Amino acid sequence: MEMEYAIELKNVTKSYKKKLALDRLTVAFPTGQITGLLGPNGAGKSTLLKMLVGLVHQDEGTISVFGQSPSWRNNGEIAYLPDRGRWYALQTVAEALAYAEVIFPAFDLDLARKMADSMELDPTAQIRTLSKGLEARLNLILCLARRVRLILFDEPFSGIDLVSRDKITQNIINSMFDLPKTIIICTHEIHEAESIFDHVIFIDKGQMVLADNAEQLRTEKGSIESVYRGLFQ
Amino acid sequence: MSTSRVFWALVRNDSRLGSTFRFDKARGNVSALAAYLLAFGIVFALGGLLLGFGMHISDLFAARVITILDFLITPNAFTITFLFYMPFAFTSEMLPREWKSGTVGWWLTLPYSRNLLLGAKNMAGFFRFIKLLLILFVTSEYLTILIRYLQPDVENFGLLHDLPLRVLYSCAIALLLSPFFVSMGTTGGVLSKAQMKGLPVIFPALFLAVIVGIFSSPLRAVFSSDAYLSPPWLSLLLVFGVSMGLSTLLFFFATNVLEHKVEL
Repeated sequence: MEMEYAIELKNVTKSYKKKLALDRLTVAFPTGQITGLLGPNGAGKSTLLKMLVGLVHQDEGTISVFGQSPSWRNNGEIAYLPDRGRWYALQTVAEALAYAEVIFPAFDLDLARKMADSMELDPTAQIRTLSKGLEARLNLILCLARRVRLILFDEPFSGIDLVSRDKITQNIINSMFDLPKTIIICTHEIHEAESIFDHVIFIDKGQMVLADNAEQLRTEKGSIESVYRGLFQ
Repeated sequence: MSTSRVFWALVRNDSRLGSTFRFDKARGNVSALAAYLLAFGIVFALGGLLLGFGMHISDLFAARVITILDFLITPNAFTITFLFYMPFAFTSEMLPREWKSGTVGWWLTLPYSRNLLLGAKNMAGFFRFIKLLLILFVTSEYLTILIRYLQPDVENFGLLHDLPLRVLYSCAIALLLSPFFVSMGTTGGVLSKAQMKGLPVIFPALFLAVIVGIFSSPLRAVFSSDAYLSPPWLSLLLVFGVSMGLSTLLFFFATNVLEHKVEL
């Protein structure tokens, strides 16, 4: 059976002044799967995700997200968790969820409250008082409680504790049972996340190095982490 | 999803976002606001409280209070420039604040027109400015009333005669010009984040050009010291028209730049 792709990039190039971030990148992300986007620092992973939501514009090439060019106009179907993104510090957790219900289309407030409860977030706590791990959990809820077709996570595990990582991973898996969607996770924490990947794409210096089914790679090489080490060490 | 519901939710959030800026001591515009409010507060606290509690203060002191009050709240180069500057300062800070607080990724990916996003920032800045004007108006009226009834024999008591009307007139001018300066602030904020060379440099020059332009044209009649006695309605209407027209142009320029030239 031929694979369906939610996102397709063809010969996409992007440079910041003299630095080439993406170099004629051609890659596709399968629909309805969790794809791990992996690569060393400066490989172009974050730039790629930003392009999909229209935060960065390509210099050359074409990008298709569900058949359309990226733009804020199509972001009602996409939840994006920015790298090092913070939520509004003066809001409480409850206010953040209520605000998200208004500004994010298809935000399920009941689901968000249930997730907050299961992730041990105090609704009365002000966001600026939350630990990094708790704030990461809130950010995850703000994405997963949206009934959208595509979720992009840019470093969702960065700098947070093991318990929070496990809770985040579990919630991503649960969300796929509730409502199948396409998820792309860009992370350095391969060990924690690799069990949830259906598909993996490795990029380096703005070019694709390898793209394959995660299960197949695990069978052949033992783990995604060992494939990563083999490619980049 | 109702767009107006989204808009007012953004306005409320932007207003709160703005309130974090008072903690940002490094900002020059905060220092300007702080200096003005501090001067006003000292006058209010010393004069108002002493008089309010019926304590005897010297006529000389009461006279000084009146002089400072008169300077701080009636039309003159300082107050008008200050009142121009505040709406600019409020909104120019709002957009960079999204970057500084790490919330810009969420904000810029919202699936709404850039007009809606920037319009909400303009509205939030405008409301903050209205709040400032109300504080100035109420406190100055309060102090005027206290001095008028409790210390009526000071030498410059005459200055208080038309003070309420003069304050109202100053606030009205500031209000009429605020659409332009609010949009200037937002546009400045957008340009500071845009991949465009040169424009941020010439922007302060445009700001000054408008102020100098107004003061060197017949429109300056609205700033004359006795204009409050017989307001030049036509000039006031023109000032408002110019303010709204320039504000609209700047606003659409800013939304265009935000959509096409701002990257994260």
